[in-house]
Amino acid sequence: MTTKLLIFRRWFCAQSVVAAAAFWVLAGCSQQPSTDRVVVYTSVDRIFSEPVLQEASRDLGIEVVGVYDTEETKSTGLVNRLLARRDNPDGDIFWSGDPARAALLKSQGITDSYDSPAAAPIPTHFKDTDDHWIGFSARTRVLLVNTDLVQEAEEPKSIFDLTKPEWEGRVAIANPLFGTTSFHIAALFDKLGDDRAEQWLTDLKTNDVSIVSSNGEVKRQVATGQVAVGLTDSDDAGEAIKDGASVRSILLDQGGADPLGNLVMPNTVSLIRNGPNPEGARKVVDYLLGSGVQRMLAESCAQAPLTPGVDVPENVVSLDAVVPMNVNYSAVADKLEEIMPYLKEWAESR
Amino acid sequence: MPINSRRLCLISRNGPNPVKRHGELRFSDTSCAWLATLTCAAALTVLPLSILYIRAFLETDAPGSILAAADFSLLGRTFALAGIVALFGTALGLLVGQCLGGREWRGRNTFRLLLLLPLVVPPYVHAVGWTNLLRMEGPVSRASQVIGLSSSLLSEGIYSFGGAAFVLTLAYFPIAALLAEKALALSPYSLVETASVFGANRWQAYLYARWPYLRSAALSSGVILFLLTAAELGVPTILKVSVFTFEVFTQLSAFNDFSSATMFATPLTVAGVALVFFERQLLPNEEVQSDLVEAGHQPSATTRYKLVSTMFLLACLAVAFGVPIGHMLSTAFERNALYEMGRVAVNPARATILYSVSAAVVTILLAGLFAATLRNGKPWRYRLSDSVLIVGFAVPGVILALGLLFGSHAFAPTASATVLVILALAARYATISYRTLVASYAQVPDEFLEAAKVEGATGIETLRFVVFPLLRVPLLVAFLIVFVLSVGEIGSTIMLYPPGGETLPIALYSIEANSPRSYVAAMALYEVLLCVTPFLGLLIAYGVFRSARTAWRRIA
Repeated sequence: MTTKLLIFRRWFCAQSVVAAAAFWVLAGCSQQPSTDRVVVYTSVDRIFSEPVLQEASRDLGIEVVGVYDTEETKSTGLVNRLLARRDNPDGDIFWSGDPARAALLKSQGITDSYDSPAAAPIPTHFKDTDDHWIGFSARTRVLLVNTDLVQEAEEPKSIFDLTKPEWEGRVAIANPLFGTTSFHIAALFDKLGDDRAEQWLTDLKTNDVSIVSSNGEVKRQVATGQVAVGLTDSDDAGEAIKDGASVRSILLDQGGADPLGNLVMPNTVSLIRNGPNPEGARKVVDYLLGSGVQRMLAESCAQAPLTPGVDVPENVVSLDAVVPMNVNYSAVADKLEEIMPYLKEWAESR
Repeated sequence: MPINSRRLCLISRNGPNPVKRHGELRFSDTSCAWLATLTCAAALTVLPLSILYIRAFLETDAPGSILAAADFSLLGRTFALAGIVALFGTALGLLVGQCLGGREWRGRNTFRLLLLLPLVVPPYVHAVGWTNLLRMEGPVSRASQVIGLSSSLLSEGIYSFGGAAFVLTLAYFPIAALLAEKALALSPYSLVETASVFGANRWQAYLYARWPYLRSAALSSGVILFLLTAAELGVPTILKVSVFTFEVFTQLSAFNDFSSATMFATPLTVAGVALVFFERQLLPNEEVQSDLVEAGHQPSATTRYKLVSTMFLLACLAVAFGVPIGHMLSTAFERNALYEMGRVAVNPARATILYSVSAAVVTILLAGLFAATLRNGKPWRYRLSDSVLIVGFAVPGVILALGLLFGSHAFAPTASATVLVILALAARYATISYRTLVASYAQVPDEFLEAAKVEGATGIETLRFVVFPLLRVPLLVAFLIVFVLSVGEIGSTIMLYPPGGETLPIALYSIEANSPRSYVAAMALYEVLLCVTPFLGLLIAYGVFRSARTAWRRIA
């Protein structure tokens, strides 16, 4: 070992330690939470949620920053971020595309209650009893139909029609472990009871249903004619129609003596407990629940406002015209947690 | 020398394991400094995982039963995909490497540089490019309709196991090509001539004189391609192919269960480490390839050889880069998408550059420390250090990120998210800088350092005038490779990025679901641009610098 080499080593080590320390300090300085900034975690597609947050920034004079979900990574980056950061949250608000995740975060102690004055006109049915989440604009579950493959007279009218022989191998649904499909199935379990719901899923599997990765993929397969029909969300269906695909979206279980009804899924907004900027967060929650945001969402992704009297474009289905599936959203969220192992088994079975 | 396969060789191959120079092994003792460096490395890679495993064992009654519940058919499917990509990627790479390294011909350096293009584009961008190109209403489907083929054949075929294998093979084959090219360049052609003199035919001569050099490159490429494919989630997700990494994500997404996700990541980690160990057993005494090893002289190429090679290389480059990326470019002009996404991409690009440059610097510092403390050190220290760093590469990024997050809660609760992102990237790719720099520094002859001492140089002068000039290229290469890989990383960054500090891949993924195709293409192009521009810019700057220096010396 030469002396010079030793000197070099000492020099290199010292420089590295100094550089690392300086880097840590400098990078750490940027961590200070700003009182002029509100961080919104949102599972709503970025293309629809980002303009709303930008508008909120302009109108409120607060920097509203979004942390967006990615459909391709199945919410990994969002709910898990909140769960993993429960002791040191970096977000103020959770804006969910369905009530299931809001209920999950409530059960995990991640969210706080907030009785927003802006929520007064919203029906109680769409609000958590403890004010941990409040619903605003709503999507519906729809059946997307390829009009080249299915005549109007042949269209299914009920989810139970999808298990009939004429639909064998012609139906697609997204993986029921994720997203709104999981919520839809949990709602069916809650409404029909475990036995009937399990029987329906078994029949669907027997009928060779195609289980695909996401609602977007259901839309793609129906639009391209790989399958004739598929269960998806109204905003996905709206996108397919906007893109000019030969498709039509229909609501299921709307007729008969005691119709099951169609699932309505409200967006929800929750306040994150111990978030960096609770004051600013309340202002943004009030803003999101306002009629302006509901109008924007109606125009951009055909979501139905829950506040009465909001003007909407003609293509948006009014909730007054829908026979809804009457469910208790908190109970559905609990049911979802309960049936997850069964759903995994069902999805993986041949 | 331009940046080329030599550096990639260093990534994949054994490093000084131990370094054999002048027929002897030379070791010295720097225990404390090495131990301190190893502790830093372990804090980055092993500690976060240990924290996760401890949580898993504490929170779960029977962690083993969790693993037993995993869908191991998916593991088989993943390994099958990885095996196919390793096989075909290596085979294609060997052919390309033969064109580049088998003979001396004008223009091969240009191709060697161009081959880096498909390599620096993240694999999921390749996937986006191919799905764009082959979509139902796309040009390929229209062309296939004209010739009477079903338009859905390709548009649906890309969303399949075969489609994923195809895309990943095209994304990764340049690694094998560059390794093979370097191996051929090192093999002395005189051996082939000798074999011919002794009556061997063309194939026998190739088998006995060339293949021994190519074998290790083929094995190393196979291992790298297998590891990269097995850990890949982006391409299978975009192409809707189920793989085992999906099991890990299912545990996180559907069940929000960190402990199960950790346990489910175990087979991938174990397989990765085992494969690297297996590679080392097969190649225990391979010489280190670096700039300091002289290349063997190759004969000049015939006109026919040049023509065939040029056509083949152009075809490979067109399929692997030109066609999908070119079509993506044309798509990105629709709906004013380049401008619209350009505005969106500014902040993510800035954040991506910050994270990636910082991560590259951190890995180089760490590798530099290892290089200084491992020089002439005991072989087991090299292996242990290597094993500690390879863990960060083998484990899925999201698991590493979770470990760092929980680790920071325990030990540094005020650590910023920016620091965590940089540390996660450094932990993922430190092994690359390590293998590059440690191998290269180990080959700096002691005589050079001793000569500097005799001349009265200080430590800084020795570093400035002896060590740095010799390690300039490895440093640059380590920096660029870590930079490019960090730019494309999504698994670890998605869990850690600070609000408002998202990276370009995250921006791309977050618009992928319901945005117009042109927007997705434009965002993907910005990512390609971010990967390619610094690479080519530095290469050009380096070339200009060398030319200027040569000219100056002539004048002087």
